[in-house]
Amino acid sequence: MNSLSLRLVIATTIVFMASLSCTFAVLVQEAKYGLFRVQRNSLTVQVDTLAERIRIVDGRPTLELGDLAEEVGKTVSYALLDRQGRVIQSWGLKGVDVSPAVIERYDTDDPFGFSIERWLDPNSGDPVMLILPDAGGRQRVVVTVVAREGLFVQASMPLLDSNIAIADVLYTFTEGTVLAILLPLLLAMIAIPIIVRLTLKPIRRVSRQAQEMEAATLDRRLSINRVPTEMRGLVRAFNDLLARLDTAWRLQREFTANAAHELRTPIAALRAEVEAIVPAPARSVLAVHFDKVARLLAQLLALAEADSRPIDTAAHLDLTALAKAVVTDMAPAVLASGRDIAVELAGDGPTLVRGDPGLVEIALRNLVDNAVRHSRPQSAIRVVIDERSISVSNTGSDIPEEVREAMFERFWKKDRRTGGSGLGLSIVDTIMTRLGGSVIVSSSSGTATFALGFQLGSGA
Amino acid sequence: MRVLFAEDDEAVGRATASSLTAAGFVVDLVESRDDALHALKSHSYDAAVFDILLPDGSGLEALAEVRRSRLDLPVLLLTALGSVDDRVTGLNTGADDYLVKPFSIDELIARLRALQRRLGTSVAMVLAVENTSFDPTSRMMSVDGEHVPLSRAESIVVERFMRCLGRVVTKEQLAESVYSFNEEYTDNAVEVHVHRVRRKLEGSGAKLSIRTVRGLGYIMVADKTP
Repeated sequence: MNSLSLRLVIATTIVFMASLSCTFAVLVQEAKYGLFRVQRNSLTVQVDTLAERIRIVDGRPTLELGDLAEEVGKTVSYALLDRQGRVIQSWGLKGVDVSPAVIERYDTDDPFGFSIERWLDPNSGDPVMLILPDAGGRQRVVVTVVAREGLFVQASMPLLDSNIAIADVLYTFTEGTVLAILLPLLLAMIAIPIIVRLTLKPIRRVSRQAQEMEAATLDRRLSINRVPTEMRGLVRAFNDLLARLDTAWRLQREFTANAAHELRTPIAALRAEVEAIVPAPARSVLAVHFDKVARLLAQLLALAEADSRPIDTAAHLDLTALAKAVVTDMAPAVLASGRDIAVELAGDGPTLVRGDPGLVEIALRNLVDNAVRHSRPQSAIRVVIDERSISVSNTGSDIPEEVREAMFERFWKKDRRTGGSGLGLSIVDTIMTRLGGSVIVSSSSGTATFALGFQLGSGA
Repeated sequence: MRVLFAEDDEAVGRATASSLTAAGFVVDLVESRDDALHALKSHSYDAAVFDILLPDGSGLEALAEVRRSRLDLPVLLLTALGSVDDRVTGLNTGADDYLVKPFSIDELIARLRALQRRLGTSVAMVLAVENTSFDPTSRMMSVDGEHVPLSRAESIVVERFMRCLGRVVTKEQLAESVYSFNEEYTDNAVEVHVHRVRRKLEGSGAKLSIRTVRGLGYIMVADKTP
């Protein structure tokens, strides 16, 4: 029931059916009255015609039915009544007494609520219309007019059974118009989902825009153009939320970056001062601590950069060139730590993948750094480039299954005593998530491997 | 070795300059980009160290100016920023090396010496590391004063390694140094030269060794005295 199309279809059907029922109710009422009116008019025409045909034969009034004689016996009855309303001549059923005294008894019998007051006086010349039960109990429509010399001419016929007749009329009517009635409904059923789709197109566009948003693009806003007026409130509210998030996020990000940056200069001064007065051999002891602080600052900045660096989604990089550059840069430090490092390439050519070269470089540096700190001296670190991945493995450490998720959290450390900042892997994870890539950890028989997976570049 | 040091943070500048002086460098300390450019015009330096953020402009601008004036002077950039882009921009502008604050004075000294060896103004200067020296003019190597005979290709390999002490030298770079453009060579040929140099260094008792970075190249490192 959550589909707008379905809701509209159901609502439209209900409204359509309700209005159709109302139309039918009005039609039935109209038809009832209409039928009655047809009968009355028909009878009135007949009695008017007959009133012309009264002749005086041998001093007695006589009525000739003429062409109307054939109506008798089917349903219609005729009668000629005298001044007092007594029957002189009759055809079919016996005439009905229309003397004022008799008529008064029926004055409230009109089933349609029409007043028959004005017909009560036979002398007025107007036709008198009555509905009376016949001997068999069937309702009959009786019309009486005053003819010449105060004589009455009367015609009657059974009141058409309105329900059956109306059903018949409506059936006939519906039969001819069923297509005309159902076609709009059918069209509405087809049109509603299409209209809904078209109407919601701007909403889908806005959803796509919202989907593409991430921390680094919080300065973007959803476009309100062509969004239906009813939905603009929602879009505006969302944009306001974005603005607040943007501010909060920028403050947070700037704080991390600024704090790390602002700490660097005073620490650099402190280090320079201390190293200037401490003799060279003693410096190495201090260097360990200074390096730790320097590393933490560098990692905080790297994290701020990983979080907030705008990403060019179309950017490509060559994993082979990147790995060579990073290993070239880091190899002296790795060898100095007593470990070996090797690059293993899949082929001779470049390995093009999608991704921001700057961010991937940060990720790769962190993995190599991580491998150095978690491997035993004399062991070898391997940087392996594959078709669309780059992996860094080291021997000398196993990664238990239970920490494989936790290790990507910020400030997670395997051992509180080790010198790492606890940020390296979370930086790697943040970067790969933002690039739409993957980080896969595997570990077996003392070898730990971190593989970064990328989407293939268009040039590959 | 005379070094121009442009650093606006007074404490960093003074303490670093005094450590460099103690290590045998001659240091001219300036605090702005203009002063740095002015000093470069009036004196001759073996290397320059620029802080990226200077009060009257960026160290990158000073570096660009140095490169425009075609001064063949090794320049090391110091920065408190240290993002990937800063490093790339620095190196693209023509910096020879890059250090992020807070840096170690020993690291700075090592880098400056490496710069001097690699790109020093006096190309003919004798390269000396531990007990080993190489004279680029006579193309002779000696260990503890003893002459070690080298072939032409081997002497090129030794010079290249000693100028890039502690840094990765790729096989391609070695091949480019040893062979001219139209000479055919194989990776294997380069490996053979390196292998021979290695044996000669070991045989003569040089406190230098060439380590392999598989898939990339080699690094010459000075053996740590135990």
